[in-house]
Amino acid sequence: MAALLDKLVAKVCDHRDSVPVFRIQQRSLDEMEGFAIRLAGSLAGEDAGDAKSHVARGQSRSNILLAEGVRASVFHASGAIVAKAALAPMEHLIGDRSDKAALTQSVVAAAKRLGLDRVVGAGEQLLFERLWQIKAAGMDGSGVRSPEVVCRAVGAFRRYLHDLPVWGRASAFVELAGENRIGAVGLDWRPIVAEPFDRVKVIAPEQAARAVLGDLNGRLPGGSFGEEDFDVGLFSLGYLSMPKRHEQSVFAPVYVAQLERRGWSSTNYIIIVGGSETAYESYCRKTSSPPRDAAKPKPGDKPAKPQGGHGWDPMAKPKLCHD
Amino acid sequence: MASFGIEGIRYFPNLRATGLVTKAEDLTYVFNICNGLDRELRNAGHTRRFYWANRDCWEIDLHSSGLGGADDDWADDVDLFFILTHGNNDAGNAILAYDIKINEWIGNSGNWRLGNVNCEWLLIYGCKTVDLANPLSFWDVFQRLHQLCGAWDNMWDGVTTDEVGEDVGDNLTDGDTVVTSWIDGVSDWWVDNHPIVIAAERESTWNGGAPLWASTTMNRDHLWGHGTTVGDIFPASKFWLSWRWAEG
Repeated sequence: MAALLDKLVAKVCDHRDSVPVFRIQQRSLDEMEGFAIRLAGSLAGEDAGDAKSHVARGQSRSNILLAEGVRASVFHASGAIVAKAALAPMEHLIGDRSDKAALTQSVVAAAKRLGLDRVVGAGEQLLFERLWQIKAAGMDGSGVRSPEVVCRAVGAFRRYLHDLPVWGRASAFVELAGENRIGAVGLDWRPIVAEPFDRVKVIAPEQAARAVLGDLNGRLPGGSFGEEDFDVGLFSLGYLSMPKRHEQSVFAPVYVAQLERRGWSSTNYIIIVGGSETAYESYCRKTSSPPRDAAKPKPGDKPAKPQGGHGWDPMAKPKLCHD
Repeated sequence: MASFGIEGIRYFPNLRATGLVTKAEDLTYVFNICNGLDRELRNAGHTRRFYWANRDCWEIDLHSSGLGGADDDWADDVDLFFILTHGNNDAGNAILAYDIKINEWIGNSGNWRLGNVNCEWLLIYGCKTVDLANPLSFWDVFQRLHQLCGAWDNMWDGVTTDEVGEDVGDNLTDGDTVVTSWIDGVSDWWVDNHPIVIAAERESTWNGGAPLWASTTMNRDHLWGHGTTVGDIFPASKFWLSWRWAEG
């Protein structure tokens, strides 16, 4: 474990001694939906203010329909928005050439066209993080392979708050199809009160790394992982935007570890630990339990099937007419 | 509407004890993901046929009944089957870890045959189930199965991926195609979950190796009730496999 601890500490980035703590602004559902309509409207090619829409407000998200089949969801707990154009996945393809530099330029230009930077406040930045590509190919039964085709390019963008990354799902993404059509856009942006309400001392990377390894070893009762079991993809101080169906009230410092598994079982782990001694809000996600269904029939026993319309006998006599 | 079945394995103490995979660690957000998919599908009117957890998930549930398993009663008895466990790949075949030996500790896609009873869509949240260089190894699995959704490398278990069940379920029931539902649903565009979808296709769309993509299963197939669901492709009419994946 000592070697894995060393690997983590050696990888630490964005570390500093103290960090401001921000309150997240709570918005009304009307505000969130209005913003989602404007964003989705620009995706539909409409003037932002003129896009006709239909809003269906559900318990945890509002679904918004616009012209040309554009639809959007806004998640009430976070205000996160995902809007999608009505493009079939294998139409409007980008082509058979994967020019990453050109695709990166295109997704950045599309983000500008959509005005994603309108959410960026004082002391914040939204920076390009990573280009993703969605590709397709095929092979016939005799092993003849079709050319690979690039279907979509997805540009992921990261929010920085006073030069610290806000980790979690991409802060913003733009999915681009062929002919520079925008296939989808997403924004996970919890606005903050600009003035921090606290400034907190950050714990040492080694202390955080020990907490990460404690969490990790909980997955292997009675055993322990070694240095050979994981690569450290990331060990960073930053903030965390919780998943989009999760409420959050504060941006306080956290350490985020991405641990990439080596070995037969190859699941990678994201582990979050607090970045200060002060706990403002829990970053633990409650794990769920499965429902308690009826006992599973033993192997060989036939499971009970739901009663369907099988066994119809139109010639059967009605019960009341029996002799 | 569709019927579906879910299996999720979070704990692996018995597998570890066998010595077969001594470091098969326990997972974390298994049932957040399974419950999320279950809830979204049921909320949209689909029928859960079964939901098994941990040691109630058996290798024979996916193993073809014709080859000594019991998939006719489980994975192949529903329209959509989802399983979450540790996965890996062996010579092109997906292998899945179980915490009980019925009949094996490790399942192998070499003996999966899906669709001959019912299953249209197989979804696996587990690592490395598909070898990107050799998706054709799944040829025999497609016995009228429409699509297989898996991963071509490691997947992630963490605080930011615990909602992928809801995301896939929302996508499937909002009208996205199955391929978009999976690739978009399991991606947060931060960590690389390596999603891939394989589909069975007809000769009419092969076009001498320049596929007519617009008419493919990959382009058109939706969950029952949420758009066009393509017709089954019988083994005799299966001509090629398409696959679509994300890479970063």
